[in-house]
Amino acid sequence: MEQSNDQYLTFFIRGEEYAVSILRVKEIIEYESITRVPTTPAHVRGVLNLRGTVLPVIDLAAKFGHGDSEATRTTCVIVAETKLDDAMLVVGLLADAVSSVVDINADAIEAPPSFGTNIRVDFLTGMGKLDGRLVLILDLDRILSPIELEQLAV
Amino acid sequence: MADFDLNLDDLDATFAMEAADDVAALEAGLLALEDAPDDAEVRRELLRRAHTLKGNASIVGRQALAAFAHGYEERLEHLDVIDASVIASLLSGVDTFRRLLDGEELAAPAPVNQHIRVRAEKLNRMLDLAGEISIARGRVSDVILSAAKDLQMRRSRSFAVSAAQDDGSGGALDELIETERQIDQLQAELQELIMRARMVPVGPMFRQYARTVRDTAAIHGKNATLTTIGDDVEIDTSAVELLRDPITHMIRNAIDHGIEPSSERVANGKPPVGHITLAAKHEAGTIIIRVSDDGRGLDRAAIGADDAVIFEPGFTTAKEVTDLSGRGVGMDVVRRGIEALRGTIAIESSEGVGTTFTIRLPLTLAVIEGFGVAAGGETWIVPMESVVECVELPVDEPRDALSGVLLLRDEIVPYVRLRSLFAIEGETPSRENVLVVQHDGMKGGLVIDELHGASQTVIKPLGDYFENVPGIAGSSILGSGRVALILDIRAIFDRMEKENGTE
Repeated sequence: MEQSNDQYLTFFIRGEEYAVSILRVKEIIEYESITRVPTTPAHVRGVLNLRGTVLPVIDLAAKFGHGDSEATRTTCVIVAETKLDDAMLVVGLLADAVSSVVDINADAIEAPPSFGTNIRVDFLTGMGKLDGRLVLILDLDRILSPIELEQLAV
Repeated sequence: MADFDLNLDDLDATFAMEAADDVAALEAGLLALEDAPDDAEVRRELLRRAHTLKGNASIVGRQALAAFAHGYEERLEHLDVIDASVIASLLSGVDTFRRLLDGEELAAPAPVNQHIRVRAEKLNRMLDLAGEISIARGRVSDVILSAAKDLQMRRSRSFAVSAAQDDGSGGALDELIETERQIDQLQAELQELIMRARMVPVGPMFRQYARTVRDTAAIHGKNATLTTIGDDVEIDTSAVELLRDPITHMIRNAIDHGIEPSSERVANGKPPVGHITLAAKHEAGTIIIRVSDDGRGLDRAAIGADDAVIFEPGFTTAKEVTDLSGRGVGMDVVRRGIEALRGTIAIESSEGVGTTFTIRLPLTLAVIEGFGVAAGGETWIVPMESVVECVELPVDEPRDALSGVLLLRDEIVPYVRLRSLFAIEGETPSRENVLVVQHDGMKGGLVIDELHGASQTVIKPLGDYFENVPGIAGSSILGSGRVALILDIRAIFDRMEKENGTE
């Protein structure tokens, strides 16, 4: 399922460094005003206009249970592809800051430990070792499962 | 009235178009084969094209063409030596195809080469872009307008400004405003044209249901045929997709519940074969689609006097769950699907005579006249057809309640506060407004902060990620570039009624 390509985009959320496969990233855009969609869970930040297309934006910090992100000057939106019922869906991911594009070889990636990470283990495909530090590699397809209707109904 | 299997004009036109494609591909393939005689892929493509031609020609009853294609396919299948003379002979076969096609084309209703096929997504993108341009244009005209105001102010402030200087800048601005107006008109024309290009006749969609009718009737041991009326009525291409399931559902219902077995029909003095009719027509800016049957009508004993109950969620008359109906996916789903297109559906039934569903849809689905309101720093859009009037909320009304009741010129109007309904954060302003809206004859007020006014709005779906957000019908992009949400008045009323019932 995961491509053999080993390039990743890394970014920060609440001081923690995360990574997603570069093949899933379409572009990175500046944070601009996002329209809230009522009755959706807190991690659904809202929607924004990406050149005429309405793009849902997910607040990963809220999704990971760290509370809503405050927009700062470095806040940006990573436009990424994710799978939804076998169809590709484009979503925006709110990040406090984008770091860089890095190479992480497959042999430098290990399964996450069963505890100790500050986000749910099933959101991760693994942990990458990068110049002596650890980056958390996200499994976008799991994180971005559609919001359930029950959650929406008020 | 056109019986589906008698109307072959469209089929012929489609065949001619596809056959021309196939012949052109044969020609190109042969030329490629001359350069690369061993290319298995090219050979397969040639065979496939010849085979398609043969099949299609025999479907539309062009026996001469089908026979020639058959021989041609045989020759292609048994090619061993490929040299210039073989290619030349095969190419002359291509010319024969063309002659055969041309000869028969004389009978065809319209010259084929005036039509091109365009992918629906390209048209969608064109419409998107037209919408984007109009949004950008809105920004430009805002700037021009404020520049004009600015100039006016400067003029009124100092009469002493030298006449020459004043006329210069004023003239340029006037020209700019005039040009802007022209662009406005061109833009509207372009948008209109793209909308028109998205319109397709309902005939092909209607005729697909002949199969649904036959198969469904067979499963129930009944006899039924389909008649279509108004095949050339055009509707938006996205509506075709969105209507497909609702109509399938209605037809299945009609056969399962409406059409009687032949023996019962004969006993009641009806023809033994049941009739399903699909009809389309335009009327006063809307498209009307009727699905009717000549069956026994709605079961009065199970339904009571009000036909509309069949649109209620969970409604079923099926005593047992059959393969086709009674699975809980019912007319409420159909109604929701149609209302998502900003349409309405009504039912009319008379015992022993039959049932008719009437669907009304707006002519163009992608653009609506919307009324903008502000609440909690966001702009919300209400479809103009729901808007009745605007009033100021009386100061003595409570400022934080979810709902309340107003007396409006002797009429009792319940209202709901959008801020509370959607749990919007922030302080309620001291002065609020009420947008009085109606849906299905029910009148109610939406309490909001400010009224913005009417404008044309391009509807954008909220996307797959959201599936179904209660109270929101879709979204739209404002002149500022921000996304605004379109309110679903029915859903809001429904929820308020429900909330009131449980409290």
